[in-house]
Amino acid sequence: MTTVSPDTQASHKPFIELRDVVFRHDRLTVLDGLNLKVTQGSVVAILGPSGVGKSTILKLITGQIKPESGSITVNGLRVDQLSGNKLNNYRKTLGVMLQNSALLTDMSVFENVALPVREHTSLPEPVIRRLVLTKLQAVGLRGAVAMLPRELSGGMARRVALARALVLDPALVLYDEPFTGLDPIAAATVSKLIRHVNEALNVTSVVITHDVERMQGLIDCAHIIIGGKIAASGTPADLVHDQSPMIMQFMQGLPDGPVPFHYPAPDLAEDLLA
Amino acid sequence: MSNQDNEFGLNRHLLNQLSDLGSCGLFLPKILMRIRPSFKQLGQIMRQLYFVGTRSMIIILTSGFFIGLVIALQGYNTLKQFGASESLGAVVALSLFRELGPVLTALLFTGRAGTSIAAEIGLMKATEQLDALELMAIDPIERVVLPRFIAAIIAVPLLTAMFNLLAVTGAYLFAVDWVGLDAGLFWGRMISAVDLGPDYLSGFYKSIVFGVVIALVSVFQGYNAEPTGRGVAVATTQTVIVSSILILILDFILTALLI
Repeated sequence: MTTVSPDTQASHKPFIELRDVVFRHDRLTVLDGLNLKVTQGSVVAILGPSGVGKSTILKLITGQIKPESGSITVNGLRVDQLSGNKLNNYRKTLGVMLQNSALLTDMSVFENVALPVREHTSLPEPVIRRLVLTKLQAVGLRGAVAMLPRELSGGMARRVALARALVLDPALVLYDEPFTGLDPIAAATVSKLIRHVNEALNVTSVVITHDVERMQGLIDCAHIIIGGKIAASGTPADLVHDQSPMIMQFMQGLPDGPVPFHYPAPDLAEDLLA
Repeated sequence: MSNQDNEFGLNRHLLNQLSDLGSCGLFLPKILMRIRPSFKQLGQIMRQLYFVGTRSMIIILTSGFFIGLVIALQGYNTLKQFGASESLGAVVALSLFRELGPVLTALLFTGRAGTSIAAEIGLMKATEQLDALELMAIDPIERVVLPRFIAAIIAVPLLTAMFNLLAVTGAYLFAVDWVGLDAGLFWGRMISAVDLGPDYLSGFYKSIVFGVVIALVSVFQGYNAEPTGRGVAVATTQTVIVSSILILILDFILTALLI
């Protein structure tokens, strides 16, 4: 298993820390004693096959769900113990870009980006306008300010969602499958924007994805989740050279291996002749 | 499947329906707790009032006009046999104000606006828009559910009044311009037969109760829809079924209480 150098981890205070987190859905154990640290100002990817619990980690960090046991600390706050107004105040410091972009369909691009500002501040309209236009300029969509979400391409919608996530200058930005369903140009644009935002605003970024190819040049560190735990951590280059069968299968996209191609089923001959 | 299995399935289905009704009732205080007198909330309610109210006017007004014509036609043919055709105005007004106006408007509103509210909220859930609001520290019940709920309650009594107006107009056109009844007699009998309290206001109270039922069922079904295409379809269908049944049951209960 590849790991990030302990010195590197120790030199930075963890901005996010998940300790011994256990989460079960119905009877299925999704996360089984997960430990994860993310240092401030870094871009970290949570990788893993579909259905392994990556989005569960995002929901735990945002406080949408609570763990059965263990602790989740973000910037010194115990997120798993927050509720009501305290949880809302915490969420105001987050920017989240969801998989479907999740723009409100009855509002224009401008209204979507302005929504969190209007709800949480009493800034005058000219200031809100300037703020929104600045964020849209940063994602290259100032010209689309009057468009409706249905008029945007998938890539444009993600960029608007990114502008909305950044409009209150969050300390932490979470991206849930930011490249899913995008063409290579749009995916590369979003990837560059994530890195650019991280460097320009000095935010901490967590990217939940299964897209191994997009990781090069984007992230500082990746954690691969398999079996409810971190199976490997390191830079994309480290992980590519990892020799454990599970990591090799995931990084090289092999259809069969420790994660079997076939879903458990009775014997084929018995099934066909039954 | 054995009879016992059938019975078990039926009981479970009935139990699920009752449990849904209970959850729906518990959803009401959650919505009411979010009412805050503010211009922002008022603006959101007005916006929804346009979508659920103004946009329902065409179907309500058209239906009202033709139902007025049909009641007048049927009523005239029956009354004529007893030599009481001059009472047509009274018969039309009483049947409209007491029963048909509130009930038909509520059923039409369920089909036009209730389904639209349930589908819209269900789709917002399926496309993670409600999650996005929650993650922006914006309460989805306050921002999405409450304005639609209040707008529907305001819209139903207003639309009922418009339905009644157009139905009476339709009946008047039939009675006076088609079969040649005296206009003064038509209005005179109507005015003398209709009491504001037991006739018109009882229909008005009914329409408020129906408005609350439709609004609550629609937002509940949408908000609790399974976040899939099928889930949205089920929520929409359930809105029509549950609202329609509740409207008809409550109509009987309210009539018994108000008569």
